[in-house]
This record gives sequence, structure tokens and C-alpha cells, in this order.
Amino acid sequence: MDVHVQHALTASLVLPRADLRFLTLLADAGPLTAARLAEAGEVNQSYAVVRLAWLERAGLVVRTQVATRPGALLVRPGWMISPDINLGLERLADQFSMTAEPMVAR
Amino acid sequence: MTAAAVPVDEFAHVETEKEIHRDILRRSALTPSERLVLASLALLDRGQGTLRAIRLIAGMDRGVAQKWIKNLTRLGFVDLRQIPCPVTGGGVMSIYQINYQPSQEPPQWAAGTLLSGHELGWVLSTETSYADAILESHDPWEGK
Repeated sequence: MDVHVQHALTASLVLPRADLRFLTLLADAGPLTAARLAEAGEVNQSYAVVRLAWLERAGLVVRTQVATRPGALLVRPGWMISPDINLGLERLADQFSMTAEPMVAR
Repeated sequence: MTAAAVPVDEFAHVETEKEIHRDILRRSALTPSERLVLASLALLDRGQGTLRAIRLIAGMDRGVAQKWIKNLTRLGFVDLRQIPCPVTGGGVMSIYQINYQPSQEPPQWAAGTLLSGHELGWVLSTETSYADAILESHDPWEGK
């Protein structure tokens, strides 16, 4: 099986529902604040902050600046999908021992 | 909302996800790119997302992602739904979703593509270890 597929499958298996929701929101709607993610993900903000920090360490999301409204100069701290998300998925897969036993080549 | 409102069933999806993964793995006749698109969808909430989300996670150009998702939709692995755009309030947004029905056996035409017993056993045993790892240590980076 393609190694990228393994990584994505592993990540989807080990990530909690809220994390998957955050990734979907960030991928669909672009950079968002933790408050907006918490609201859309229907979790409290402190939980969202903890999970976003975890996802940052996993290399799946990165910090960025988010305009308070489209075109506004005022910005707030926010989050976006990491440009190196596939590297993060690879690390996550390694962390969960994806290489425990190789698949038999056919 | 208080801290107690944190979802208590955040691991409840694991069983369903495992089923989805098994189903995807069984369909090994798909090309690596097609499987990557499915895996990217599996990474998104409820196995569904926009083309943009698939493209970002699969690391594919728009045209390439569009080609593979169109293939998967035609083959019946992915459903296309259109919902009112939540951003603009007008127009529609296309959402792709893994077409997964747990009660159904893999289609006949996929019968020749099932994993061998050894491979399936490997998949199931490693999936169990992932679930255990999640329950024992939610944060694999903790203390590192």
C-alpha cells in the first residue's frame, strides 16, 4: 500500500473526533481563530486550545494571523493547515508503530 | 460551556473509522492516487469534505485531485452532495463523502481484490494496537 495512504489512514484512526472536525474546518474555511474553531466544533475554547497545541506538535497545523474580518488590517492569532501536513502524518504514523510488520508484497 | 462539556465520546468514532479503513484497504484494486484521496477523506470529519480539503491533505493539485475524485464518484466509492454554502449564504457547496455502508459486503466486482488472510490479520492486529495506544496514552508526544 502507498505509504501516504497508510499515513492518512493512521492519522484518521488515532485522532479524536474534535481534531478531525478542526482539520476539516481549517481545510475548508482557511485560517481560523481558536474561538471560531471551538464554536464551530461545538467544544469549549480551552479544550480547543489544548487540542490545537497537540495538533501543532504533531505537525498537522501551524499558527498564523487571521484578519478580524475580510480585508481588515486588525489581525488575531489563529491556526491553519500545516504546509507540511504530510510530514506530520508520517510522524504520527511512525509514532503509532506503522512499521511493526511490513505488508507482504503481491 | 464548561470544561465538563468536553465530549466524553471522543473515541466513539474509532470503531466506525476502523470499518471504513478495512473497507478501503479491501479495495486494493484502486490506484495509489485513488486510495490517497479516500484516505484523505477518511482523515476529515465524518469522512467527508470539500475538494479543497482533499487537495490540501492529499497534497495534490486541483486538477489532479478533481480527476481522481471524479473517478471515485463514478465508481461509487464517493458520493457527491451539494449543500447551501455556509460562508456566502447563497449558492451551493460541493461536499464529497466516502460511500460507506457497514451492512453491505464488498461488491462482487471487488471480490478478487480482497486482502489475503495474512494481510487482513496484520491490519486488524495493528488497528487494535492503535486503539489501545489511544486509550493508554492520548498524547504520544507527552513527556518527550
